Amino acid sequence: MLKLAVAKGRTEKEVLKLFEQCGIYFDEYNKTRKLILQDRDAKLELILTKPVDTTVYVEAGAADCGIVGKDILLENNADVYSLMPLDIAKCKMCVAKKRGTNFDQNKFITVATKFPRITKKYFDEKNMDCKIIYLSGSVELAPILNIADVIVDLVQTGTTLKENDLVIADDIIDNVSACFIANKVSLKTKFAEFESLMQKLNTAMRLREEE
Amino acid sequence: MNYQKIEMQQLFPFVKQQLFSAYNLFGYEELTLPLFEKYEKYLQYKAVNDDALLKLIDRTGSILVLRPDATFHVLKTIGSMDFSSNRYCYMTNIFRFKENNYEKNDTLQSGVELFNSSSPLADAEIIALAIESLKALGINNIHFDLGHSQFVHQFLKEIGITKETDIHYYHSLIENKNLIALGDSLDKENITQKNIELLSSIAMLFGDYPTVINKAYDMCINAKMERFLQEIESIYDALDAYDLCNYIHLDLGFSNPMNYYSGMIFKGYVVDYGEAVISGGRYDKLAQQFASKKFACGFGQNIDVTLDILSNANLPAPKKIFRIGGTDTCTATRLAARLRHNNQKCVLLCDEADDAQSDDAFAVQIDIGDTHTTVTDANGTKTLNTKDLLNNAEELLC
Repeated sequence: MLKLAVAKGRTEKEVLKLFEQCGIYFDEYNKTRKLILQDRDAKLELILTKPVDTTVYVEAGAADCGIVGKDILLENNADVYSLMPLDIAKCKMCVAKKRGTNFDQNKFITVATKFPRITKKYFDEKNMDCKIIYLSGSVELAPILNIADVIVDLVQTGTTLKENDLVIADDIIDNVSACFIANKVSLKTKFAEFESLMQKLNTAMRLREEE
Repeated sequence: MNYQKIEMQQLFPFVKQQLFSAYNLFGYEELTLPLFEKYEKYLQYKAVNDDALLKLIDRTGSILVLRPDATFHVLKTIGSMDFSSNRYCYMTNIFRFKENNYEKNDTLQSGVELFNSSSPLADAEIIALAIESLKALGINNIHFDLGHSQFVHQFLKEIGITKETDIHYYHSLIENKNLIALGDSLDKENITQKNIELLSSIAMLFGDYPTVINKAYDMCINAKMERFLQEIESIYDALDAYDLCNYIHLDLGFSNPMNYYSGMIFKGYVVDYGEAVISGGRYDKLAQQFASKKFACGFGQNIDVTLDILSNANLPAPKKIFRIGGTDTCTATRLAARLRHNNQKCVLLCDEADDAQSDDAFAVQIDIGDTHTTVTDANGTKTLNTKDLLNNAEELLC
């Protein structure tokens, strides 16, 4: 049996939909508050994790594979195989500023974010000096309350930004979507199971595209 | 290693003994390695990322590095001395700063190195010893992946990817089997669709030896790549004589941008454990640069991982131990000396407080009184005459 760690929340819901299209059913889903569920054919075990922790379980081999946003994958710098992007939970990662201010690349700026590593890499590459403030959520508050000049965050529709009077200043990663990742040992030792699961996922994705 | 855990402390001597006896049976001699090296010397070595080094500053202001890797120190040690042997082993701590690890920076590692031979027999010996050393610990659900460090490298070179930053970038994509990003990036470099497909297939070129080796020949785009496969084949043939081929699988997507390995490369896994326990390969170039040896291959085994894997295993029973105490301390001391002379493990209890009984089942308690002595073991208690004790020690007790 393959153990699959999935980030709870947005990713989880879309993954479950995708699995139904693959013919993989988790009957207990939504009927219990268990964090570990088995599918009807007892071939797959679903482990629901906090999004930032998904890579930790996969890297350690506690889960053979996982489905996690590319943002977390990059932020955690996890040593795993990132086998295929799944066309779900799509968004992008941006720098956003207060409407009417400048994003001056020569000035020292303060950045609030949930993604300090990605942020640091971006500003290092631009050769910009910055101070990074780590926040664990509701990053939009930081510019409003004047503890940061800009934020680095995921943007899906842009509504949250708009309602908080923020605008996109730059795109950091254009296409952030969920990725199917694998533990580096499990892929080798359980390859037949991986192959069959990936085939199913591929088929389901193709069906989606046709829709 | 988790030094504070009693299980680990008990397990470690067993692991150390089993591994060294396996290494010894193959004729490897133990080396003791220095702890520090000058920072400038490490800069030439390049095998460990600079951020991971633990550094110290000495009184003169020069920077020292705490041993982050054993192979470099093996090379330096044998390179500067007149050794006669070609085979060395070690077990030692290595120190690296780990970003995601908040507690500790030292890892226990053991390993072997074989110098001066480029024969496939040397490569096979190293792999065989790696497998045997796991078996010596009672680990049997083993999976080894064999590959060649230059196979992917040669492909990239042939299709014109030669800039150092590009090489690193593509190696990391292949190493993470990120085929989509690989395809997209190669497309931008104007690489032909056929070569993109070939490289993607190479990244996923792992599995059973017979299947994969045949597929691999179809993916060679120059004679050098074919030669690397022939090297792999001759190593596999040599392993056949060890009867170890059922543990060997192939992974030709192994990617190695650091220029550390120069030939075959392998990793050892234990089924259901998420991390490689052994990794090794041929590193002729490093051996030439740092030890003036023409050829070298070897492996390192992560002892922390090994201990973790074994933490639930049943260890062989410890040796019988005698615990000797009582009022007649003179007889007790003499009896202990006699038994030790006969290669029996013996503890002389100093006073009442000195009677820890952690391995009760294997202990023989001897309480020596002035006239009578009681002997208690797992089978029960018997009483002996103290006077006769020394004359018949072996017969009575063994």
